[in-house]
Amino acid sequence: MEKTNIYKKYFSSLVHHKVFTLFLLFIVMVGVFTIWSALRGSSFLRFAIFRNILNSLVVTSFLAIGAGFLLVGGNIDLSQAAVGAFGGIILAAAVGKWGLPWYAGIMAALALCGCLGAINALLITKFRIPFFIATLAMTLMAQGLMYLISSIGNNGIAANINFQDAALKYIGTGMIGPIPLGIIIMLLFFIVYGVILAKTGFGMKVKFIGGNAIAAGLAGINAAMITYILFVNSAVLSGVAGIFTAARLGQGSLMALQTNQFTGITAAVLGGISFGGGTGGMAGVFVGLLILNTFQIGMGAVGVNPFWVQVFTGALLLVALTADFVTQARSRKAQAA
Amino acid sequence: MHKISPFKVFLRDKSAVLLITLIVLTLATMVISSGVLEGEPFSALFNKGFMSKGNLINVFNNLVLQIVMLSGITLVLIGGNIDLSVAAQASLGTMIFAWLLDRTPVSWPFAFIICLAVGVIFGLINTFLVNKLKFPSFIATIGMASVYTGLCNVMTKGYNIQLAASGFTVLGRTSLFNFLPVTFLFAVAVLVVSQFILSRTTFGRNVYMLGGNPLAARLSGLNADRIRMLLFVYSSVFAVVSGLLWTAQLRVAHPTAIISFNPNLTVIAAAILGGVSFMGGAGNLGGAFIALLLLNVIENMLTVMGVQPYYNIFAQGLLLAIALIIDYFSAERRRKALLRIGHGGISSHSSQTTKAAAG
Repeated sequence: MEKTNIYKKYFSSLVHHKVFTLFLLFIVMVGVFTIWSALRGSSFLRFAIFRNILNSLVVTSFLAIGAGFLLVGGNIDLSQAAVGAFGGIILAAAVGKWGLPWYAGIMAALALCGCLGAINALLITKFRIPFFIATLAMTLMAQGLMYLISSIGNNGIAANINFQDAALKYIGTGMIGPIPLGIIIMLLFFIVYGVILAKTGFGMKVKFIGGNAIAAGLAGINAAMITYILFVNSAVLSGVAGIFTAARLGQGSLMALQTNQFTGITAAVLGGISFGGGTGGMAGVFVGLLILNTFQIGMGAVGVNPFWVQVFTGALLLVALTADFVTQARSRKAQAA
Repeated sequence: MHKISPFKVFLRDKSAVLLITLIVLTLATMVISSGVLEGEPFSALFNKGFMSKGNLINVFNNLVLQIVMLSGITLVLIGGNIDLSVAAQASLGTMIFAWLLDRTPVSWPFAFIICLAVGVIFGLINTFLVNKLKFPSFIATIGMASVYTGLCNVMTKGYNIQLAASGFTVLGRTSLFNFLPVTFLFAVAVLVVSQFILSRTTFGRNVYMLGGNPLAARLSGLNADRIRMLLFVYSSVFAVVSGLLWTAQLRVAHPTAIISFNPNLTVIAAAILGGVSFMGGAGNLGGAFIALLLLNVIENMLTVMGVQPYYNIFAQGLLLAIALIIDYFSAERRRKALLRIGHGGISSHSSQTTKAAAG
C-alpha cells in the first residue's frame, strides 16, 4: 500500500517535470527516425550518429548555457553570436597573424569578450537601457570591431583569418578514446553550471532576481552585481563558442555563428526556463538543445530537403512548447483535484 | 511664482531630445558631405552629398519598408507583446506575390489582395499561439519566423523571382519632385493612421491599458484576446505590405533579402529608442518615427562621408549606445525636475509637466 503511494508520488512528480516531457519527445523522435531510416535501408541507431549529434551541440551549448543563466535572471543577450564571432577572430588573429601561443590567444579572446559583456551590463544596470536595444547596439559594435580587427594588416580589407596550431586543432577536433574532447568539455560545463544554478546560494539569488527583482533588491541582494556576472559570463561563454568554431575550422570566420543569434535563447526556453525568469535548470536546456539537433541531423540522415528542415525546426519548437503547455495544464488540474 | 517656459516643457519631452539630435546630425552631415568646408559654393549644401537626389531617393526607399513595419510593430509592443516574425512574413508575402504574378494569370491588384489575406492569416497564427497556447510572443514569433524563412526558400528552391513590368512596378519607382517616392508618402500615411488609432480611438486607449497592466485591463472588462488578435493581424498585414512596397522598388523577389538585413531588430530598436516601453503600455509612434529617422541618418551619414563600412558598423553601434546614454541623462533630469516641482507644491504646473514627461 505504502509502496504504491511512494511510487505514485515520485512517478507523478517525474511525469509532471518539464524535462521529462522533453525527454519523452526525444525518445519518440529517435524512434521515428530509426523506423524511417530502416525503411530507407540505413540505420539510425548507431554510436556514430549519436556522437555526431552531441558533437553538433558543442558550439551552441555554450551559447545556450549563457543565455539560460541570463534568462533565469530575467535578461536576454542578443549579442551572443556577434561577440562569439568576434572572439573567434581575436583568437585567429592572435595565433595566425601576431604569432602568439595558443593559450595567450584564448586568454585574449575570452578577456575581450568578457569586456564586451561588462559593457552590456554597464548599459543595462547603470544607464537603465532595455536589454533588447543595449545588446543590439553591442551586436553592431562587436561586428564592427570584428571586421576592423580582421582587416588589420590586410590592406584594410576584412577577410577570414587562417591559422595552423596543433593544440587548437586538438581542442577543436581531438578525441579521447572514441569520444571527441569537445563533448566532454561541454558535458563538464553543463554539470558545473547546473550545480551552480541548482545548489548554490548564487544560483538561488539569480532565480530570486529573475522572479521578482524588486523583492530581491529589498531583501538585500545586489542585483546589479549579479547582472554584471551574468552578462560577463554570457559573453565569455559566447567567446568559448567562437573559439571552438575557429579551432574546428582552423579559421577565424567572419560568418561564424551568424545563424545562431536566437539559438541560445530558443534552447533555453525550449528547455523550460520561463520567459519572465525565475525558474528552470540546465538539464532542461541540454535536452532542449538535444532535441533541436537530433531533429536536424535526423532529417538530414533520412534525406529531407534542408529548406524543409528549416520549416520543420520552427514547427518543432512550437510543438515542443505545446507539449509542455499541455503537461503543465494537466499537472495544474491534478494539483487542483 | 515658479514659471516654466513652454520651451522647457518641450525640452522635457523624450522625443525632443531625439529630434534635436536628429536635426544636429542631419545638418552636420549636410555640411560635411557637401564639401562646403573645402571651398564648394554654398548651394552645394542642397545638391551634393547627403542632399543629392540619388542619396535622398536611397534614404527614402530604405525608409519605406521600415516605416510601414514600425507602424504595426509599435502597436504590438505597446499592447505588451513583441512580433519577431515580421521580416519573415514580409519575405514570404513578397514571394507569394511574385509567384502569383509569375506563375498564374492573376493581375497585380488581385495578387495584392490575396497577399493581404495571407497577412491576416499570419496574424491569426501568431494570435492562436499567444492567446490559446499561452506562448510568450517572443518565442512564438521566433518559431514562426523560422517556418516562414524555410517556406520562402522551399517555394523557389532558393531562387529569385523577377517581377514583370506592371502598374505595380511603375508605382514603385514613381517619385514626386524627382526625389520623393510615392511609396514613401504611402508609408507616412500608414504611420499617421496608426498614430491616429493609438491616440484618438477607444481601441487605442485599450491597447495602452492592456500593455500597461494586463490584469487590471481584464478586471475592468476588456477583451484582451480580441485586442491582441487585432494587433497581431494589424502588424502582420502591414509587414506583408511593407515587403510588397520593397519589391515594387526592386522589381525582384528574393527569398531571404529582407530577412538578411534584419529590419525587424532595427525597427524594434527604433521603437524602444523612441520611448516605447519594451514591457508595453507606453510610447507613441511620433517618438518611434523620429528615432527611426535618427538610426537611418546615422547609417547614411557615415556612408556619404565615405567612412569605411567596417568603421560604419562599429560607429552605428556606438552612436546607438551614446544616444541611449544621452536619453538616460535627460530622463534623470526630467525625473529630478518633477521631484523639485512636487516639493514646491505648485499643483497647476505639476500636472502639466507630468503629462509632458509621461508623453
